[in-house]
Amino acid sequence: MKVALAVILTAVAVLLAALLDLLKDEVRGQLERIPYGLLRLASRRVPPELREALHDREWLPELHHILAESERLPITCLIRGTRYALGLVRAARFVARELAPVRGPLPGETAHGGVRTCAKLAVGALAAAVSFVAGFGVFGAFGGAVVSLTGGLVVVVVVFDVTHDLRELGREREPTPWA
Amino acid sequence: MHGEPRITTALAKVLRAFLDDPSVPRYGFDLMRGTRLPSGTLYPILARLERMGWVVSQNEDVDPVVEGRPARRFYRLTEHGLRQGAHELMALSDALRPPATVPAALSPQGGRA
Repeated sequence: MKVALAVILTAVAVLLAALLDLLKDEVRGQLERIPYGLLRLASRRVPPELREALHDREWLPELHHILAESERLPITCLIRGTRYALGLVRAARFVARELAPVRGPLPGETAHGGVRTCAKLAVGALAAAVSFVAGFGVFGAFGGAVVSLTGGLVVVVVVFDVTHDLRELGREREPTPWA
Repeated sequence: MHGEPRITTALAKVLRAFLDDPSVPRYGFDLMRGTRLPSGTLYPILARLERMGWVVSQNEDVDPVVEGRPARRFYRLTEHGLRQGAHELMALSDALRPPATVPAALSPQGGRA
């Protein structure tokens, strides 16, 4: 009986220790995410066309440097990272307003990207409609063939271009290449 | 892009840090440490200086995969920023220098001979 109790108590102790370890890792993981979360919040206060220039190319590398420098001191790391990110949450709008004329939008990033994509879709739909009508011989045999082919080509180009645009607009943040 | 900023104490600290060695590139966090300014104060100042053409910024030319870290952005004084910054700091220093008639008791030696 005593042996069974000892075995059970040992098992419970091991289980509790493992659970505590997991809990510790979980808490540590969540705490480490705080500065990054705050920095993302700061980037939301910036116009979309400046987010890459400010968040991805300046603030995030700097935060990475700050955290790496105090890697062995988790609390210092958390405090420094959080202070850095919090300051930027406060200053993000001002920084963006000052830098908008200097750094401007990066290639492929425009505030009206969605509108432009819709316009391309409209052109594609029009080309598809013209091609469809041409199939009924409205433009004659030769004219119909030429219009159909041209319309089809336009549709293919538009589909290709819009697919690229949509990927850009809704792209997930790429995994950090240095990690 | 040029203009005249209002020289605040914080801005003066940043200019002073740049003028320590104008050829050295300065990173945001290093400037924060050197000037003891928080990011919420430093980055607006850097942004204003960049808009006015006193500093330029660019990303390090490093391969993130090789270095194991992302390329950081650094700032450097321009010729214009160097001239104007030095001029403004000297003007500020002149304006803040205690008058020659300061009472002896308030001097750094505390009035002792």
